[in-house]
Parts: sequence; structure tokens; C-alpha cells
Amino acid sequence: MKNERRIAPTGVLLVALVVIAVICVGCAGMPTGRFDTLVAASKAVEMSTAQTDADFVNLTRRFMMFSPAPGPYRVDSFAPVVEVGGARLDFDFGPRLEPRQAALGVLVAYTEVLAAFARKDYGGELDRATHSLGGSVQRLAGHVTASTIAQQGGGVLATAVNGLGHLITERMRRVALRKAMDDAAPGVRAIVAYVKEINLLASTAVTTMRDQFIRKANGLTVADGVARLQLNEAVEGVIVESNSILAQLRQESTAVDAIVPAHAELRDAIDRDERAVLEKLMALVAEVKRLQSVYSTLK
Amino acid sequence: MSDHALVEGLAGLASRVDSLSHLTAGDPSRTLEDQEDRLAKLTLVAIALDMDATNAKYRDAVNRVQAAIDAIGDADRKIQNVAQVISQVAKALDVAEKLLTKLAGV
Repeated sequence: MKNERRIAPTGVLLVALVVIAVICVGCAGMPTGRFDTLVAASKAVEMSTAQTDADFVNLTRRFMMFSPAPGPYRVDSFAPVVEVGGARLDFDFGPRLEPRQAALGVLVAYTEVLAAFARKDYGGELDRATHSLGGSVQRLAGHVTASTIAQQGGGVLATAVNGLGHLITERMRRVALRKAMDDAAPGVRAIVAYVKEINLLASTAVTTMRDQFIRKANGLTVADGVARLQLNEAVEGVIVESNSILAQLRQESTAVDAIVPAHAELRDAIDRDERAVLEKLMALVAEVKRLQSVYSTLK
Repeated sequence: MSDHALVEGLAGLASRVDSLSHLTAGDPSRTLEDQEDRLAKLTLVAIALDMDATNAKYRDAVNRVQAAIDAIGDADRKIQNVAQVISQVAKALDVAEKLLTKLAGV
């Protein structure tokens, strides 16, 4: 009897320890840093793409310097217009690039919602991020040239995070986060595919303008001397700028493509210390930034 | 539904016509250069436009462009068929120009 009395408290203690351990596992901190990394990566791609688009617009302006509208100068002599079969057709790429930027805005806003939720930033940050996502999705939907798949992808992201409320326990938060990320995965894929598709179109436009530019430059007759040097400088500038934009577009597509597996790994590794994919993504983003600084020095 | 088959086709055809123009001389070369210039312009316009890939005229333009690409094949080997190539490219240009002019609302 005496022995039984001694064992009983030990058993209770063991049970209590197991319960505490289970609770501790359930309360283990969420890997919030990795969500912040995903936000940083998405933002870096968004910013880099905005810079590339600005370079792209400049290249179009240079192209029009070599292909102005025929006849005397007018206000719209250098507008992006080409003559096709006697008709003047607009080839302004703005309506193509803006929805791509809006789609990247949706992706950034979505990752911010995830990060705010993972950090338990219930004091306004989560609501702010959710509203921001709603606004980004509306902007994307407002672009008539954005593909239906991209617009639907934005809607999927907004719907996926709707279930993220002010949950109290870590275990509930993890379950909610996993579900949101599962639901959002098709939307992330759709937006990434759309961004890559527009990057590919932009690359085709850059290559076409560059080749036309070179062809027209070869058709010019310039005497040796200062005029020749000026032409050389203009042609060299366009070639370097075109190659820079092509490299940036390629790298941005690679970086945005890496967000899909990073998002999936992050979802799978909420309980684990797994950061290889995110590190790869950050390395790609760093490469995008490095490329831009290298080409900036060449301009 | 939109796809970029026409953009890719026009850009690819422009590149092939350019290569062929360097391998030829005289009038055929000048005609090919002119065609390459028109193809490049159409490529830029096609990129800027949102096109419905299910449209019959769109599919027709894609097929014509592909036929011209097939006619060129390997520019080195088909150099003796330049007249036929020019004719195929002209047909592709005609159909694509009509389509894009209409879509641009001109």
C-alpha cells in the first residue's frame, strides 16, 4: 500500500509531463521569419519587374526615335505607332505590362497576409494586409487585358485567406494556415504562370525592336567622324539595353517561378526547420538585384 | 481564350525571312527585307493586342504564318524556292494585316 501511494504521484507526474509536452509541441513558435522571407522575395520580384518595365518603356522610346511617323514632326510623331497596310496601329505595351504588375501586387499582398497571421499581428496588421489584398485583387480584375486565369487566381488567393481569423491556439493557427495555403496554391500557380507569360511576350517585343533597330541602323549612311561615333553610341546603347532587359526578364521569370515550390515547402514545413527552398529563392532574387546593378553600370 | 501562337509565329517568321534575305541578292532580297519589316511591325502590334484564340480568322492567320514558316524550312536548303517563299509570306502578311487592323479597330 505504501508503495502504491508512492507510485501514484509519479504516474500523475508522468501524465502531466506528457500533457505539457503535447501542449508545448502545439504551442511551438511558428517559423515567422520564413514567411517574412517569402514576403521579401515577392516584393523583390515586384520591384525588379517595375524597374525592368521602366527600362522597357525607354527602349520603346529609343526604337521610335529610329522609326518616327513619316512626314513633318507632330506631337505624336514618336508615339508607339507603326504603319501597317496604310493604317496606323498602336503598339503601346502599357496595357500588357500593367496587369502583370497588378498580378505581382496580389502575390505580395497575399504573402503579407500569411506573414501577419503567422506573426499573430492581430492588432490591425492582419486586417490591413487583408484589405490590401482585396484592393490588389480588385485592381487586377479592373485590367481588361489581364487573362481570366490570372484574375481567377487573384480571387482564389483572396478567398483562401478569408478563413484566417483571430485564432488563439498555435495548433489552430497552424491548421488554418495550412488550409489557406492549400486553397491558395492554384491561385499562386496561376499568377506565376501569367507573369511568366507576359515576360515572354515582353522578351519577344525587345528582340523584335532590337533587330529592327540594328537593321535600320545598317541602312543609314553616315560619314566617318563625329556623326559615325554618335551612331555607334546609339546602336551600342540599344544593344546593351536590350540584352540587359532580356536578362532581367529571364531572371525575373526564374525567380517568380521559384515562389511556387517555396510556397509549397513553407506550407509542408510549418512544423519543421526546413529552409533550403527559401534560401534558393532568396539566392535567385539576389541574382535579379545583382543583374540590375551590373547592367545599370553598363548603361 | 487567348494564346500567343500568332505572336510567336510572326516573330519566328520575321527571323527566318531576315536570314533568307541575307542569303539572296537583288530584287528577292529587297522584297524579303520589306516583308521582314512588315512582319516585325505586325509582331509588335500583335503583342499589344489581346486576341481571341478561338476566333476563326485568328486561327486562319496562325495557319498561314505556319505555312510560310514551313515553306522556308531551312533557309540554306530551300534557297532555290525563294519565289515560292515570298508568295507564302505575302499571303500570311495579307491575312495577318487584315486581322490585326480589324482588331485594332482601324
